[in-house]
Amino acid sequence: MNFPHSLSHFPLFLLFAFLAAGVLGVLSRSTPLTRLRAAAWSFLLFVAVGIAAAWLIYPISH
Amino acid sequence: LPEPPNSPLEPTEPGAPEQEPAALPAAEFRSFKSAPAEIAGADDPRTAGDVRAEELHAEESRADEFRAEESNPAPAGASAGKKGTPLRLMALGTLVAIVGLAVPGMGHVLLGRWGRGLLLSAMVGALAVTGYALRGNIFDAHPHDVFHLLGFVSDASSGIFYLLGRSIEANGPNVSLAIGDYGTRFIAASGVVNLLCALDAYDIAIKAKR
Repeated sequence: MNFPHSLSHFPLFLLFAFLAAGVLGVLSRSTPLTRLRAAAWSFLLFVAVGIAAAWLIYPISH
Repeated sequence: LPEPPNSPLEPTEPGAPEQEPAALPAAEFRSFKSAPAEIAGADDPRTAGDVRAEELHAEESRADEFRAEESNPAPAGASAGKKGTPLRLMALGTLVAIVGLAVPGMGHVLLGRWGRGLLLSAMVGALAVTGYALRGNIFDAHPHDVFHLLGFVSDASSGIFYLLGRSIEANGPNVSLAIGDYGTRFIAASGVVNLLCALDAYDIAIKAKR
């Protein structure tokens, strides 16, 4: 299976954020539109926090 | 104004024999019934008679409820549980939570929430299958420390995908690469979100959530 191995770290990170945010959006709201908004908001937060954490620990590796 | 004779509220002289309160004449009783009730406040238009009638009606209702409970005791399965949730609903919630934990999304499907169930099943499955395809670590049922135990609990919470993991990951885990470590996180996340799905199905079953 070549699909996930062909992805680099960042697309895998986006895939993880997309799937986890999708589940959270579906579970936390009851109508399709509000679910979509909650999922989008969760996705943005996942990405923002992930990038912020990456920059925070960047000096440790260099 | 002259005080009315034989008033029951009039203080008696010390040593004087106690007098029986005189019965109110019919006209006076009618005026008492139509007088504003002081105990209900000045803004309340109800009369004292109305307030008393309401109290009597409430007492009769309580007595009727008590008699109904005495004559028709609730069945054992319908007795109230914690916070007033009937045990029948709690049993149903536990059942759908267990089914949902075993097969992601199936708890919602059992409750008739097909769309939500299939969507959750697809996303939990995608997380798990991607993790296994990345050759993430699968924690077995023989934990040797607390982190291994937590890893096992989170992995096993993906239910059927945990059982299929060995066959998907035929070559075994490879966490020597960073991408394999990513796979470990995907697998664990699939179990954790499936736990949330099972709890959501439980809440829907006990009608704590729509």
